[in-house]
This record gives sequence, C-alpha cells and structure tokens, in this order.
Amino acid sequence: MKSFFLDLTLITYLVSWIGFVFYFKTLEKKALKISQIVLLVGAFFHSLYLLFILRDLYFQNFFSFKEVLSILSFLMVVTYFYFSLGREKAYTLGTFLLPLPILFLLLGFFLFKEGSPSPFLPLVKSLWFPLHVFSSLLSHAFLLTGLVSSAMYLLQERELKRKHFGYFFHKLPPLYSLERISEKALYHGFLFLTLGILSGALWSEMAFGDYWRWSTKEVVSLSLWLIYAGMIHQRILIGWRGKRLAYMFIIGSCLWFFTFFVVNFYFKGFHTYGN
Amino acid sequence: METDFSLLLIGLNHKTAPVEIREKLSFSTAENYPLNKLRKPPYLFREAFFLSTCNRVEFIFVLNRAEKSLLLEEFANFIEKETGLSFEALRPYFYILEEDEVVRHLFEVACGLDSMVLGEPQILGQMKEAYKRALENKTSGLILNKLLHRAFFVAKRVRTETGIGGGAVSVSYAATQLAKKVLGSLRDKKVLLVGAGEMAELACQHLITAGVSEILIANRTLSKAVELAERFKGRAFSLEELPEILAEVDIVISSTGAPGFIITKAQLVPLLKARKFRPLFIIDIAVPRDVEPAVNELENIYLFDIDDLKEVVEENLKHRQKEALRAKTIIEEEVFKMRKWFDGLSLHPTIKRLAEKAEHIRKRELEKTLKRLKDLGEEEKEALDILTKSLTQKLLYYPIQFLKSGYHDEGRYAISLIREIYKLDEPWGEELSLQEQNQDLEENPLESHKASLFHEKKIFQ
Repeated sequence: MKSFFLDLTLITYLVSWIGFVFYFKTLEKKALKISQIVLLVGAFFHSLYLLFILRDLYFQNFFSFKEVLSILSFLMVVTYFYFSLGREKAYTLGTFLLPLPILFLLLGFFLFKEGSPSPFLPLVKSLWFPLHVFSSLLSHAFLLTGLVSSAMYLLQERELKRKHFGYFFHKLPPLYSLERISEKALYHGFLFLTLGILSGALWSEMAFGDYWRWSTKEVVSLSLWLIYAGMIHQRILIGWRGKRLAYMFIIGSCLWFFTFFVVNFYFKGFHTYGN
Repeated sequence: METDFSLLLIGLNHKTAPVEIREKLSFSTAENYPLNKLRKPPYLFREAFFLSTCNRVEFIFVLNRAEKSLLLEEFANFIEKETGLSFEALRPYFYILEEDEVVRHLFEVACGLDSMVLGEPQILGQMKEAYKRALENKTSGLILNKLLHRAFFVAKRVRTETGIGGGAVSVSYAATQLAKKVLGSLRDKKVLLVGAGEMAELACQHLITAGVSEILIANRTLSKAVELAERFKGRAFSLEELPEILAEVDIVISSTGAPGFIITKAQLVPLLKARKFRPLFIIDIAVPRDVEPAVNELENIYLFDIDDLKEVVEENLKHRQKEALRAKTIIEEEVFKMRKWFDGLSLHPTIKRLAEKAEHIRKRELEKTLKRLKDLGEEEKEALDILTKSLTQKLLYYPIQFLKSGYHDEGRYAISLIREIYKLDEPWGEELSLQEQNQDLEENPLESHKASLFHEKKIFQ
C-alpha cells in the first residue's frame, strides 16, 4: 500500500511534467492549468505516502534516506505551489523545477529499491528531531527552487544581453519575476536553515549532551548558512542582485549537493545514513 | 442545395490599389451614404453593406441570382458618376468575389488577416461602425445581419484561439514589451525621456498605459522639456542634470538629434552603486545613436537600439504569420457553417426538417405511452399510431401552409421564423450524439430589421 502511493505519485508527477513541457512549447494557458491540477493530485498521493512514513517513524523508529528524498521531493512541489500562487508570475517555472522532485523520487526508487541502507535511528524521541528534519529539508527545497529560478534568470539575462528575441526570450518569465523568486527563496531558505540548525543543536544536546559536535555535515551546513547570511547582507546593504545572486545560488547548491549526497554516504559519523 | 440569392463583393484594398485610387473611392467626404444613391429604384439588390477604411473600400451585395450583370452595369455607372473615372480604367484595381468567397473574405478581413499589419484589431471596430451605418440606412437585412454577426464572432474566436493578435508589431509598443521582460510590471517605475521625438512620445504613451508612475524629461532646450512635462504631468530637466536623474529612473528613452553619445559607459559606472544595482532599461531610438553601445556590458543595464526593436517587431510578425495559417483553418470551418445556414434558408429543406422533427417527437411519445399500456392488442396499437400520425399532420398543416404562402410575400423571413419557433437548427435525437452542438446559440438566426436595431445595442456596447 505504501509503495503503491509512491508509484502513483511518481507517475502523476511525470504526467504533470509532460503537461508543463507542453505548456512551455505552446504557451497554452489551459495546458498550464491542467498540469497544475495534475500536480496537485500527485501531491495529494504524496502526502498520503508521507502519512505512512510518519507511522513508521513513530511506531518502528524506521527512517531511511529513501524517505528523506521523498520528503524533499514533496517539499519542492509545495514550494512550487507557494511561488506559483504568489504575486510573481513565472508561469514556466514548473517546466524547469519539476524535474528535480521527479529525479529525487527516481533516485529513491533505483538506489534503495532492494537492500536499502540500514535505517538512521533517532536516538532520542523528541519533537526537536522531526522539526530538525522538516526545517532542514524545507530549506533545501527553497535553495533548490532558488537554484532553478537563478538558472532561468541567467538564461533569460543572456538572451536579453545578446538580443536573441527567439525561443527562450518569449517563454521565459521577466527577469524581475525570476529575481524576486530567487530572493524570496533566499530569505525563506535562510530562515528554515537557521531553524534546522538550532533544532538540530537542541536535539543533539538532548541525545549526546553536546550542542555542536563538528561532524562533517555540521561544518558544511554551517558554511552553507554563512553563504546565505553573506548573500542577504550583500543583497540588503549593497544591492547585490541578478547575476551575482544567481551565481551565489549555484555555489550554495554545489555545497548542498556535497552535503546531501557525498557526506551522507562517504563520511562516517552519527549524522549519516550509511552505517 | 441552391439558394435563391447570390452574394457579391466588389472591392479594392491596399494590395490591389495605390492610395491615389483608394482615396478617390473612399466616399469618406460624401454626406450621402453611397448605398442610398445606388439603391434608387428600381431596386437592384436586396441587401448591401459598404465598408471604407484607409486601406480598403468594399461593397457587399445580396441580390437575386439573375440580376448580377445588371448590378455590375449599374455599379460601373455609379462609380463613373461619383469619381469621374471610367470603370474600365479602374477595373484592374477591383476584385470581384462571389458566394463563399465573399464569406471567406469578410471573415478574413474581420480577423485582420487582410490588413496591412497582420492581425491588427482596429478593422473589427471599423466593420462594426460600417455595419451600424448599414443598419441606420436600412440596407442590411436577414442575410447580411447573420453574415456580419458571424464575422464578428469568428474574429473573436480567432483572436482567442490563435496568437494572431499577439506580440508587439510597432516599434513603440515593442519597447514597452521589452521593458516588461526586464522590469516585470511597469507600475511604480520612473521613465526618463531624453530629447523629444515623435517616436519617444509614442513609446511614452504606451508606458503610461502600462502604469508607470512618473515621467521625467531632459532636453537641450529647457522650454521644450517644460512644455512636454506639462503634457505628461512630469518634471523637466536640462541635459546637464542627466547624471543625477539617471540614478533614480528605471527606464530611459533617448531620441535626441545630437551627433555624439549623450549617455556613456564612463558616466554610468559610478552610478551603479548609487542605484544599488537596480536594473536600468535604456531604449535608444535616435540615429545617430545617443547611448554608447558598451553601456550594455554593465551589470543590470539593458540597452536596446532601434535595430533591436525592429528585430523584435519582425520576430512577432513572423509569429503572426504562422498563426494566420491556423486562423485560416478556423475560417474555413466557419465558412462551411455559414454555407449550411444559407442552404437552410430554402423552402424544401425546411419543410422536410419540420416533418422529421414532428415524426421524431411523435415516435418518442408513442413509445413512452405504449410502454405503460401493456395490455393493448395489435389493433389498438395501430389505432393509436394512426391517431398520433393524423394529429401531427393536421397540426403541421398550418406552419407548412404559412411557409408556402409566405415564401412569395415575405421571403425568407417566414422560413427563418419557422426554423426559429421549432428550433430546427438545433440537432435532435441521434443527431445530438453525432453532430457536435452548434455554437449558434449566442445569436439569433432570425434578425429582421426590427430585431437588428435591438441587436445593435448588444453589439456595439
């Protein structure tokens, strides 16, 4: 039953993405509406699946990387709706954003189908732990959304500067909208990353008696936090925007990729899923 | 099915005739409606429509089949009398279309497919205006009313279903659209006009429509700037103050006659920080150019010159041409529907359809009754069948009689009326599932002169 909902989610997301690609090609408003509705249905299936995860977490203390990927994928879909219902109208965002949640789900499928790695066991049951997971993953979702809108920004900015008024120019949203999305993603991401680190530290204190243990992941997360803080500082005081903000997002995302996929598997420590 | 009337269109447009010829035939100065002069008895045509814009002059006639050559002759006389030129000399400029070609052409004109600027929307307004005149002069009747309403409907359909009206096709509007691609919404944005050409004013007008909050004007001669500032309710500056105001605006439109660059890269570099790197959108429509091209290399500054804008316009036109092909498919579909409606106006199909409908209803009702009355014998069933048959026949006798007698006196109004009362244009029974529901519902197939005046309100609002 549990994996049935996950399969259903993956299929619905794929269908929705095909709709978004079709919208990108034709700019037919109807296609966008339908894709969004399909995506919403997918998100509904996804949330049902997440309920099963929650049950497993509380009754069996079972929590593996596959579930983490799935939650991240779900949160990215949530951020998509957050931004598409917001004031900044970037209609083609879905076409570029949706491949990421789909990729995460697929990764979960193929990497952990059989012989999934030994689960990561929360040592102490406390509300800080789910809060830590949720805020950290939400901050990742915002970071990745910012990455996507930044990539779109760079593409559109190049078209404008080179004066190519062709395919992408018409279909990509205005620079302003893309920048606003990156900016919002920056603020929200920073907020949730801070929350994630704080709740993690509190939980760590409960579990190990230490707030901060200098594990690889903590160090990298701290650097990510510092990059975020630096970006916000420059943004507000000096007015860094546009391309600079976009490049910072790309650097931040590389770091995130390193933490999330490399550190989690190849570094040993209490924070990783592999052992 | 042959109709008893024929459609004829005589016209010329920007493709077939130079402006010298078009202006002679525009009848725009004439006090009198040209169709009134043509209409003097004996009546040559049943209905007529006259359209005159700066790009086209067209006459559409609905006439009896046999009278075509007579009308052409009379039309030639009329043209000769009005313009002083012989029709023979003018003949190469005219195109003469008949039947479905008329319908197709009218639809294409309404959609802007025949316009100088492909897909422009003004022509629709001009057609509505011309139709209003035809109604006032009572030259439009059942057929033209239907045809023109249909044309307006087709234009609307084409506009919503294709991108024929999409994308800017004028340089000044293209500037606004480009600005939106950079700045998003133009609300609360400040615009600076450097120099004041006609094109700059046009672009400025578009920007005001898009909602810009303030207009600043800088000019070599301050008095001209003040004059413009008053018109746009903005502030006036001299060119020397340029560096200061450049720090606060979002959009610059430059169009001075100066020989050298007025805005240079060196001038803008120190402003970037003061502007907090806010994007600056510069349009340079001056020739020779006012803004140093290297300005475009600066961060968050976007410079477009007149050639860039023209390129945008050309791209959009190319797109419209592609959409025009899709529009033509829709028009073909609509021409076919129109033809079907015209054919329906003849007598025999109407009677046949009426009888079919009555028979359909009779059978359905009979079936219902027989289902409930189970103990009936064969004989009684037959008696019921005969009873219902004779009932419908007796009832149908009157409308059919009305159709047959009215056919000579009242023409197609009787047919149209019967079709309306019995809803014969709507599918029933099996047809409902076979035939897609016609969207004809939005307009009334019966439009007499009286009804037209009422309709006028609906259309012109």
